[in-house]
Amino acid sequence: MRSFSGVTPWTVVAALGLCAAPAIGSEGQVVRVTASALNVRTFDENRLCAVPRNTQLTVIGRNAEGTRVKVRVNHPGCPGEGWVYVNYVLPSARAEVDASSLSLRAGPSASRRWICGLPRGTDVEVTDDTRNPGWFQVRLPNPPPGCPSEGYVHGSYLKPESGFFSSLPVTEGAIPRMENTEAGAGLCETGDCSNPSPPGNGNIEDLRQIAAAAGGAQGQFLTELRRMIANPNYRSPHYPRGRDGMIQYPISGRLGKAGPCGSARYNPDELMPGRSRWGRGSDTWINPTTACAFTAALQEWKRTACPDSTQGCRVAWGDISLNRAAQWDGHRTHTMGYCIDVRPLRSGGFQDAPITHRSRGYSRDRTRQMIETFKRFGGTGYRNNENPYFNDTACGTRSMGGHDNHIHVCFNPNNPAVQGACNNLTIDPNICPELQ
Amino acid sequence: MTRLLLAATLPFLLSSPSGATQSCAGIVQGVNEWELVQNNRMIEGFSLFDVEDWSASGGFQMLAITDKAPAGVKLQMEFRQGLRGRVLETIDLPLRTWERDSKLRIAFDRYPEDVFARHPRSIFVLRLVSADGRVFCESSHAVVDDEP
Repeated sequence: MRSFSGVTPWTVVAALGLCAAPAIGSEGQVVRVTASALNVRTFDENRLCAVPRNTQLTVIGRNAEGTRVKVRVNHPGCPGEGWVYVNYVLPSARAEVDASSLSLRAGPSASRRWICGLPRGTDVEVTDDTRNPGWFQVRLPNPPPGCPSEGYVHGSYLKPESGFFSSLPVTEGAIPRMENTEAGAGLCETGDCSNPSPPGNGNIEDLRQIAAAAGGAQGQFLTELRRMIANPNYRSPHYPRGRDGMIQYPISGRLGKAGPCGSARYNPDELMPGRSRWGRGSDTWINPTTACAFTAALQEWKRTACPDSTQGCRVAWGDISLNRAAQWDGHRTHTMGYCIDVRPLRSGGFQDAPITHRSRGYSRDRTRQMIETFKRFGGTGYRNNENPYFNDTACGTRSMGGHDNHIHVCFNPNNPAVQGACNNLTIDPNICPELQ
Repeated sequence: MTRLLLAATLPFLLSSPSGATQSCAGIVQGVNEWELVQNNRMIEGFSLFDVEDWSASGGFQMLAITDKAPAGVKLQMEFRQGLRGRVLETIDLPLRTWERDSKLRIAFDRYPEDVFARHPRSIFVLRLVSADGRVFCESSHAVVDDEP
């Protein structure tokens, strides 16, 4: 299965809605498995068994967040019931557009001829998914003016038709545990561990639901980070762990370009559908301790220096690490989720635009202050005893080729300063509301 | 090594492979959209900026042709091994009116990373060509690696 890493469960459910299955939205709905091997678990995450692709499951309930469904299973070695993540089942052929204007194309690729834009809410019926991963041939029962009745769209911009989950009963509750017979337990949910697709992606809507479920007093984000840090094998239901125990750093927005604590993410990965590398949040994989310390620095920066994120002091970050590969494009220091690229800051208002230390509008004062904040929370170069990389060394940085337009800062989880920053972190809901 | 190559090419970047005298700065611009959670609401905006060398931290989502360009021009993107080197690929970029700003005509409705990924460590030339084939403006930039 291609990666839908980080796409909201709602989107993924729709995106996988391919074949002419019966109408969904009610108890007793039959869905089929789309992962190569899907783990069936108890509600509290103990693995019961795995079922292969195309196994039919009967939906009998859902959890409160809508991220998992309770299913009836008829497969050798499996009990009668269990829970699966909705990301890996195919509920329906019907979906609706979840973008302000979704390109309808003549073929299953972004390079194929653009035909028209489908407005948000347009109903589609998926008729084929076999031409190119992520791309669906669709039929439009009611094509908007100027659009034909058939074409191709990318599934990341579809969501389930209204009422997908609404008529399912919430049946969150424990299923009796069975003996755990899992062999080679990994950190990914599907049997295809080369490219795990998390059911939760740190989307702001997800985070609010999680916070509500947790009582709202302490955000689940930090709670979950601390559990992961304490136990490298802990499997978070909200932040699935990937290679080397990394998680995806929270992002939100249609393009995934809003980070927590007022920060900006400058890689618009969702604009590159069809390439697993560029699935949502695909380059935001981060070590949990690094995530904790970086969050502490972002929160401190917003609290002390940049309360207004519409200004040029807004922290904009980009590459962290990929889940599927230890390196990409020769980025040797972006392999373990310790290091983050951050743009220099500018005077005036915020702009999502490249800037170097030689650009008009570059603010050395703001940039130096931001780097000092990173350092206070354990930020270094690749090694713990070196400065972050950036070619304006007046900012207290180390010069490094190619670092005119970004600061390369690492929060090494083995660095006591990083650990201390994490230990001292409490999320202020007024500063980082996305994490509450 | 990359750094050395770039240092060697930079003096020529202000030149133009076709000899066009006018730079496309301010005429062909990069566009990035941004998002921000403010008062529990998601707000969106976009930034227009002069195109620089392409890298992970220096890219653009789209290209925009401002109203300084004459009507009927065609936008070309050409990749070369060097400023005077072999042409690797020439792409005619379709332009369309942008719904977010009707004064702009834009190219790329997807992040163009895959186009740049085909030609690492090359030179890319942005060129506006009028209907009679005359080059209206031209600018050259490098495709660079920005990571250690």
